[in-house]
Amino acid sequence: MNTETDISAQDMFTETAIGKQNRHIENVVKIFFLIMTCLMILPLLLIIGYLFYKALPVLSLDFLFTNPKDNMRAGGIWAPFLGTIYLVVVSLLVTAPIGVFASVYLNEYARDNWFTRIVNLAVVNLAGVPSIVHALFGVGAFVLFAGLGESILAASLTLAIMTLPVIIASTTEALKAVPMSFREACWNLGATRWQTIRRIVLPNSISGILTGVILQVSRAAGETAPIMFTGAVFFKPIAEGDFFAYNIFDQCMALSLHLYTISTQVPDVTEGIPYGTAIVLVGSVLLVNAASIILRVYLRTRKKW
Amino acid sequence: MKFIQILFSFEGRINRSGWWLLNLPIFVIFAVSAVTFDFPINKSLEHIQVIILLVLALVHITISAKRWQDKNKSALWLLFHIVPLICSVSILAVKLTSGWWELFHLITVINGLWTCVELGFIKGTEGSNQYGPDSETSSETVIDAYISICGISSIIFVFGIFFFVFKEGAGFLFGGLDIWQFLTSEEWYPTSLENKRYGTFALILGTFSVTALAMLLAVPFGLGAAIYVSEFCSPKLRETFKIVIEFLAAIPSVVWGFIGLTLMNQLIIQVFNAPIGLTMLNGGIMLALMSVPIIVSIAEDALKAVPDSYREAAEALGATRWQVIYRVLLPAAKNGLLAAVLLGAARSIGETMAVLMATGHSVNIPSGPLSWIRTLTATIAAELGEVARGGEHYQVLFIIGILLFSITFVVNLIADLVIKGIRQS
Repeated sequence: MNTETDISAQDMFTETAIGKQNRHIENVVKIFFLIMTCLMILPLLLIIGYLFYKALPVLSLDFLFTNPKDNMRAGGIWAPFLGTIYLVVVSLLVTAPIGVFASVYLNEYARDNWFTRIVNLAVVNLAGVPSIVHALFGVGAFVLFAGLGESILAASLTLAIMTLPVIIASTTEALKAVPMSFREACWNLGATRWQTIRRIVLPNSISGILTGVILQVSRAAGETAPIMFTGAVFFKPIAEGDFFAYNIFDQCMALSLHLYTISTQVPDVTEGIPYGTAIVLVGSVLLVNAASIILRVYLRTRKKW
Repeated sequence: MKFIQILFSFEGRINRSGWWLLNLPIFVIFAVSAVTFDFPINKSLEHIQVIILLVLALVHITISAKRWQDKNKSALWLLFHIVPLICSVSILAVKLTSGWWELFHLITVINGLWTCVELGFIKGTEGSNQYGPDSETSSETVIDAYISICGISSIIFVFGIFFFVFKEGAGFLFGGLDIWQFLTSEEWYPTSLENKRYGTFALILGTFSVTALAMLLAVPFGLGAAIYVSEFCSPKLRETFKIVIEFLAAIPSVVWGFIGLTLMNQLIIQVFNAPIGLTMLNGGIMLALMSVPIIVSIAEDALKAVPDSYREAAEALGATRWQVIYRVLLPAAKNGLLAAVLLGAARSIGETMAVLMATGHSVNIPSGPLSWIRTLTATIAAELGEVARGGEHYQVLFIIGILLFSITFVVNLIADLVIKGIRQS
């Protein structure tokens, strides 16, 4: 910036006018971007705080363990809560093995050719399909074609296919984190491909895989559209306190659909109940997410390589 | 040994884990078929079901034969499998007295347990025998096959989604629907008694206008946050921000809709003095908050992918941070940033519950941020529950599904190509 050739040492270290201006610009820019970031984070805190504040009058253990009463205008959320657990567990049982194996295939088996690119493209597109289209697919394939009817099973299968990319993506990341030299060392000892995966790759990436599985749970728990027409119903009371109250060929209630119903379809609901439902839904989803984050941080601290 | 040979050939050997890996699914499928005998499985599928069961039975027999050979015994030992069959046939055909009945039952159980132990638990001969070489790794073929099947499952699912949605809507799509009217008419009267009209123009416009509004809000904030997180943050602060963004992404869409319905509704009524706050603006803000996490995380990846040497070179020339960002990073990462915006938009287009609850839900050509709109997704969600299966209206909803699938497919494809473009250059 200073084009003169005979600068003294003094001049070199005093700030020029342009330098000062640049520093100011930089600070302004930095603060500007910081504000933008904060404007994104603020709503999160605001929303959780607001929901919690409004829900406070109804929140208690009883709220969790009683059925909705009085045409859903009063009571608790036991039936939808248990229904969501059923949907999540069944979909997890289906999607976890398929997802993990699919990403093992993509990482360890597939060569870099056109077919693999198509598989990858399919995963990306599966993740991009709108949730309501998954619902239509669930109706067409599971409810009608396979003859499962509107049932927990049909809804869970729909959720399973919808959340498959979540597991594939995070498992792929976990498998990629295992250094290639581990595999090479194992192959050099004469191990086969599956032995290498079984003894070296999977044990070293198990925590990352678990993170993906947990994220799947949080995603599946919050979805509404895919289960609306495949198995979740507006109202279905069940035995309170009985954890095996649903049959997987039955329909069930679900927290997310319950929140939609009581906030849009049912008039005169007791003030706090929708907020209570919302905070239980958000709370469980965020708790599950927090568990996955803690697992990830823990894993990073004890990583051996 | 090839997987097909393992399934259908009587020659060669197989080890215990291979036998189990193939048999367990077969057992499960047979058990489910037996239990759900009365279950309303689609009757038109019955013959397919029978064929599948017969093929599975054949597979069970061939791998059991190979298991006997693995123990250096002839496949003729398979004849022992017939014993329980004879027993059950004679129990059913000849009316046995109770003493005989129980004896035959006992024989069946003992025979079953014995073959199970013999085939499933006792090791084959070591090294090669007269039926083939050592079978130690023969189960790996089975595992490899399973993994490959899971690997290509996503292709099957994507095609399955298209196929089944298409199948439900195809009848009306090719027989009766005026596609031009479907795309360009703004008259959506699917339940009208004398003149049903299926024009989705207002819905398409609703979807795109609310998405555009959401992107208008989300893109500057998302890119700004991505720049801050990637260029200005200390590593620790960066981790914190990323966790917060993950939380933001995890909030279910129905909760966003609920927030739109309650908090944002009141806010808009008060700030804009509007009669009702369930408007395009409301939905746009909700969608912006939902798609910002995607934009931030992908844009940050794109910025991080710019080599540090670019930054160092620019700073060595005396550029300020802002100049580095504006002149070097943004041009270098522009493809990735474009992909981030596209994926954020795809998310907004496909979002259902939030727009269903927050945008006022009335079919309307949008005239401004405070007008009520309805989107393609919300229409399906609101009306599918109330239509008769197989009717015209029902099929039109599936055709809207095809439209949505195609739109997001194209947007995702472009985003993917853009990202691939970065990796290659």
